[in-house]
Amino acid sequence: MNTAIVRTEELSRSFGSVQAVNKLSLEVPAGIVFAFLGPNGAGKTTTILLLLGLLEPSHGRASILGLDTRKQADKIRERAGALLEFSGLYERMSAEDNLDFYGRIYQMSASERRARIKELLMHLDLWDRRGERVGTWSRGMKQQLAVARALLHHPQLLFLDEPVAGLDPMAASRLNDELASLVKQEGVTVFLNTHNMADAQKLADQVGVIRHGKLLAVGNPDELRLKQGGPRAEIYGHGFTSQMVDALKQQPGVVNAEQSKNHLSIELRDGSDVGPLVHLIVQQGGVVEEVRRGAADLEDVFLALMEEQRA
Amino acid sequence: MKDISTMTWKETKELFSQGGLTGYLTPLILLAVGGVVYPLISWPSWVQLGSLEIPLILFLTFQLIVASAADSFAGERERHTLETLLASRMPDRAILLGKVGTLVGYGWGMNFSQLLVGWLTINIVHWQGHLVFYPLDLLLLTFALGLLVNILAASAGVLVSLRSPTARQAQQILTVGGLVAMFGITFGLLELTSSLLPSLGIVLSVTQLLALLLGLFAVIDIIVLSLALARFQRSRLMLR
Repeated sequence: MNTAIVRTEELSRSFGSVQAVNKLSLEVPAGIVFAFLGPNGAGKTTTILLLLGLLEPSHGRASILGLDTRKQADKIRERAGALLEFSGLYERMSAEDNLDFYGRIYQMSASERRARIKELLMHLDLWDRRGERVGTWSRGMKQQLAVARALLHHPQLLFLDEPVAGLDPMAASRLNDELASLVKQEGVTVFLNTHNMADAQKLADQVGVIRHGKLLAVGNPDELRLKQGGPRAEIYGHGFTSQMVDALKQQPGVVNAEQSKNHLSIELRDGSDVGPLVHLIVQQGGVVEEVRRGAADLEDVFLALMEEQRA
Repeated sequence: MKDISTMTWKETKELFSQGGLTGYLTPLILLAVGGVVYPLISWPSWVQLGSLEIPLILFLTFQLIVASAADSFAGERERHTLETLLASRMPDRAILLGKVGTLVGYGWGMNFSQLLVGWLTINIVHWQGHLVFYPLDLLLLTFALGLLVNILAASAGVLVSLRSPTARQAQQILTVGGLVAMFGITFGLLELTSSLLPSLGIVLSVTQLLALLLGLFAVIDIIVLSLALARFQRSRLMLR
C-alpha cells in the first residue's frame, strides 16, 4: 500500500471575494502520476502554489512528503521540483548555465552537476546545444529544458503546471513522451496540472477534476470513465425521428438514447450488441451512414462533471 | 554563504550576458566619462580628489547601480523567472543578499576602475617626470564611502524593485529618488559646512567631512537594507 505523498484537508484559499481553492481534500499516493484536470481559472495553479508553501492557505492544511506546507515549506521545496506556468529560464544564459545554476541551488557538487546535466540533456537530445542562449530556442525546447531543470536534483515529487500549454501538437506529443519516459526512469511522483484530457489519459494513473476551486471527482481514469457511463454507440445518418428514439429506449440493451439532428447517441448496457439497433433504425426509415462504438473517454467525463456542477 | 555565492554567480552571469558587447557598454561609457574625460578636464584637481571629484565618482556609480537594481526583482518578475526561483530551496535572505552583494561588488569595482583609469590617464597625459598619486587618506575614504553609497544604491534599488510591477516603473522611481537623495545630501552638506557649522565656530576639513558622511551613510544603509530584508516575503512576491 502506497503512502500519501500529497495530503490536503479542506485546503482553501481566497483572493478577496474569489474562492480560488475551496475545501480541497485530496490524497496522492507516492510513485504515481496524478493529473489535476480543470478549466482555466479552476484553481489548479493556486493549488500547486499552496502545496509548495508559496501561498498561505486561508483555511485548512496540506502536507507534502509528511511536511506541513505552512511550517516546513523550505524543506518541501528542497525535496520537490517544479515547472510552473512559465518555463522560468534565464534567456540570456546558456542552457548549461541555467541547469548549473539550479544544480548549485540544490547544493550538488560540480562533478555531480556535470554528470547529471549531461545525462538529462542527452536524454532530451539537447546536449549538442547546451552552450546556446536559451532565448534563441523554440518554446518546445525551452519546456524540455525546464523539465530537465525540475528533475535535476532527483526530486521525490514533481509539480508540473500545464507543461505542454502553447506547444504545437508535435512538440506537445514529444514532450509528453519524454515526460513519461523520464518519470518512469526517475521513479518520481508527479502532480500534473492540465486542462488537456489527452495528456491526462496518456500520462496519469489517477485523476482529480476541479472547477471553481472545488474537487468534483477523483479516481483512476478507467474508474471515472466507468462511473460516467458504460459502452456507447454513436450513429450518424439521416431520417431519424423521435419515435425511433422512443423505440430504441425500449430495447433491452439500451440504457438511454438521444437525438441531435443527424446523430443518435445511445448509451448501452455492458455486452449489448449494436446490430439489432441499427436494424431497428433502418426498419423505421432511417438511413445509417456511420456507426461508432466505444466507451466514454476522459473528455466525456470531464464535460459531464462540468455540466453537472453548472446545473 | 554558499547560497549567497550561488546567487552572485547567477547575477554576474546575467549582468554581463546582455548580448555581446551590450552588457559591457554602459560600464565602458561610464569609465570613459569618469576615468578619462573628467580627469582630463579637472586636472590637476583630479589627483587631489577635491570636493567635486569624489561626489562625481560616487554619483556616476550610484546611478549605474540604481539602474541595474531596478531590474533585480521587477525584471525577473517580468521575465517570469522569479516564480521558479521562489519555488526552489534558495533561502529568502540568500536571494536578496546575493542580488545586493553582486550590485555592491559591481559598483565598488567601478569605483576602483574609475580611480585607476583616471590615475593612468593623468599620469600618461600630464606626465610630471614622476608618478603622481592620490592622497592616501582621501583614497581610502573614497573607497569606504563608495562601498556605503553602493550598499545604499543596491538596497534601495532592490527595495523599490521588490514592490514594483515592472522594471521600468522601478527605474523611474529610482532615477528620480536617486537624484533627489544625492542633491539633498550634497546641498544639505554644503549648507552644514558653509553656514551652520561655521556659525557654531566649527570648521570641517575634507577628511572630517568624509568621515561624517561615512557615519551618515552607514546608518542609512542599515535602515534601508533592513527594510529590504523585512519586505522580502515569498507569498507577497507571488501575488504581485
